[in-house]
Formats: sequence, C-alpha cells, structure tokens
Amino acid sequence: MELSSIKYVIDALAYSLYAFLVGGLLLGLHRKIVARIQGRPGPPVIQYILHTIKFYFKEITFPITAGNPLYLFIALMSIMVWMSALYLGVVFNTSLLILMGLYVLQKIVEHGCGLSSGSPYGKLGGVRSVFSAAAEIPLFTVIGTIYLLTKSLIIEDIIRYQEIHGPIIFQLPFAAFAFFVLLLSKAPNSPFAIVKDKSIVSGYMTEHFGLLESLIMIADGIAWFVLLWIFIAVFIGPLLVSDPLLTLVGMVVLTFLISLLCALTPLLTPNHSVMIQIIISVLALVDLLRRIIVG
Amino acid sequence: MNEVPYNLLWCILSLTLGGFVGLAYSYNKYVKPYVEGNIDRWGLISGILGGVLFSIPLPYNINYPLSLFLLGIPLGMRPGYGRVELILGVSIAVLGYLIRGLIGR
Repeated sequence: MELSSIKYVIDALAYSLYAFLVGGLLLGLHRKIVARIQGRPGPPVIQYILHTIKFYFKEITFPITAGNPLYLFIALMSIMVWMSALYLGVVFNTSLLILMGLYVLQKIVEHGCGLSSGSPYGKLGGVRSVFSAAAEIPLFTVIGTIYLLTKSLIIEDIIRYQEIHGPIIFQLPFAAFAFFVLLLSKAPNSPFAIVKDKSIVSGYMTEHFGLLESLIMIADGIAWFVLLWIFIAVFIGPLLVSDPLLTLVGMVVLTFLISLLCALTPLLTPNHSVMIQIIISVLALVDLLRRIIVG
Repeated sequence: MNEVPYNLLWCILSLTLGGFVGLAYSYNKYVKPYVEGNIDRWGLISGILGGVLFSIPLPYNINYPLSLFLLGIPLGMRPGYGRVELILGVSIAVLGYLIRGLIGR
C-alpha cells in the first residue's frame, strides 16, 4: 500500500472523528440550551459523546422478534450513509443531488431500524419516519430553486457563485427557510421530531442496544455536522465556509437558534407535523414555479 | 477538496478530554447533585490557566489545545459546578485574544 493511500485513509478517519466530535458537542450544547430555557441545569455538554462511548462497550442483546441480518446491517448502513455524505458533501463538495439521495437513504435506515426489531415502538417510529418524508419535498424544491439561480448543483460551483454574487440566503430567503425547517426536523426535541417521540419510548431506535445504538449515535452526530455544513455552504457561502473556525462559529449559532425553537415549541402530533411540512413544501414549490414562469 | 482541519481536531479533542477529566473529578469529589455558588479551587485554577494560556504564543500553536484542555475541565464538571470557573476562564481567554489583536502579534 502506497504512503499516499495510507495518508488518505488516515485523513478520512480523522475527518470522521472531527465531524463526530463537533456534531456530538453541538448536540450536547443543544440539550444544555433546551434544559436551561426550561429552568433545568441540563446534562454536561459532553453527554452525547459520553453516551456514545458508554453504549459502544455495552453488551448487544437481540430481541427474539428481531429480523436478522437487517437488524444488524441497518446500524452499519446509518454510518455508511452519513460518512458518505461527509466525504461527498463536506470534503469533495460534489452534487447536492447525491446528498439528497443519501438523505432519502436515511429514511430507509429509520424505517428499517424500526421494522427490523419487531417491537411495536420501533414499528411506530419506522412508520412515522415514512410520514415525515413530507420534510423531503422542500428539499427537492430547494434544490430546484438553487439550480435556477446558480445553474449548477455542485456545491463547489454554488460556493463560487456566492463569491461573486453574495450569499444566496438574501436572494432565496424562502428556500433558506425551507432548508432550515429541514434542519429543525432533524434536531432532537424539535416540534417535528415525531420519529423519536418519547411517547413511543425512543421510536425506531428503541430496540437497538449497545454497540448498535452507539453506531447509530455516531451516525447522528456526523449527520448533524454535515447538515449544518451544507446549510452554511449553500446559503451563506465562502463568508463562513472558507475558514473552518468560522464554519464552527456558524454551526454554533445555528445550533443555538434551533435549540431556542426546540425549547419554546411543543412537539406536534404526527398529523400536524406532516401537515405543516406539506404546507411549507407547497409554498416552496409555488416559489419554484414562479421563478420558472417569471424567469 | 477540503483538507482535514487538524489544528481544530486537536483543539476539539483536547476540549472533550478536558470535559471527561472535569466530569470524573467533580463526580468523585462532590456528592450533592447540584450546588450553585460553589467555586472549586482546582476548577478555578485550570480555568484561569486555560484562559491565560490561550493568548500565549507557543511553538506549533500548542497553546490552543492545552488551553482548551484546561478550559474543558470546568466545562465538563457535573451540572451546577464549574460555571463561574468556566465563565472566568473564557472571559480571560477572550480578553487576552482581543488585547493581543490590538497590540499586534
């Protein structure tokens, strides 16, 4: 194996570790802010990372109703999806369409996790994950709107477009809002977090224990990092994304805003959550059609 | 292609490790779950040292990871502990960074 290949492998693992640590700390910060707004001290900011490490070394147990090999494979698939999104999006700045495809794969992960365990809580979580695919329609329309403006879906081209024309958030505010709602739907304790609602214990993750739960948590940490990075890169551009430190600051600010919203809003019922997401999708679609017709 | 920000990776890793140390230390030392207004001596020392070290230029910028490790100790302490120490340490770090920026490196 050549030295350069070894270097690439080390760099890949290092970036994954970086994404997981940043994502984990931001999710811990999210919990801390939500707790403080609710008048509680909240767990330490490192709690998410602590839980992930704790579960990594815990024993896996297999529910008697678990459908193997899907039950095992789906946890590995969650890591695969978000590490692919990390490399394709953040490292290589490739197409938004591929990232959208990976986001759709995440729905399959959630669905598969829930259904593979045989638990009624998991099944409900999996079914609600399918409902919440309504959150992806804004993603399609946002991508279409961005293409109309920048004539490209490659992240590198979108960033270069913003070097000349300024941040897209001022030119496509509704698209930015629709993407922000997508971010909000991925956040814990958000009004759209019907998939991991406490009334169904932990939703699709209820029956995944030990190492498998740890793998899913690692994937969720990386997912948070990737989604925040994509929002910053696509809507704010080189102003923040050219410097990793400024990108981190932007991620902290976004996490803070999302935490405020999560703490101050109730969890919607599945029907209301889907209804609101569909309304936002329709408005985003109307915006896209308007831009196509008007030019 | 975006290169791995190794300098930030060491900083985040140090912050996390400092958090682990702070958590273990505070859980071993304090039995009560949540006590406001209590200032821990070693937490205060690590916070102040971390804040001061942030602005001291060292070879290979090693001051940043070391400083964040020391600031991570009060950050990671159990809920209710380490708040004053952390705020003090971060304030010293920010102040030192601004003064250094005004004076020039």
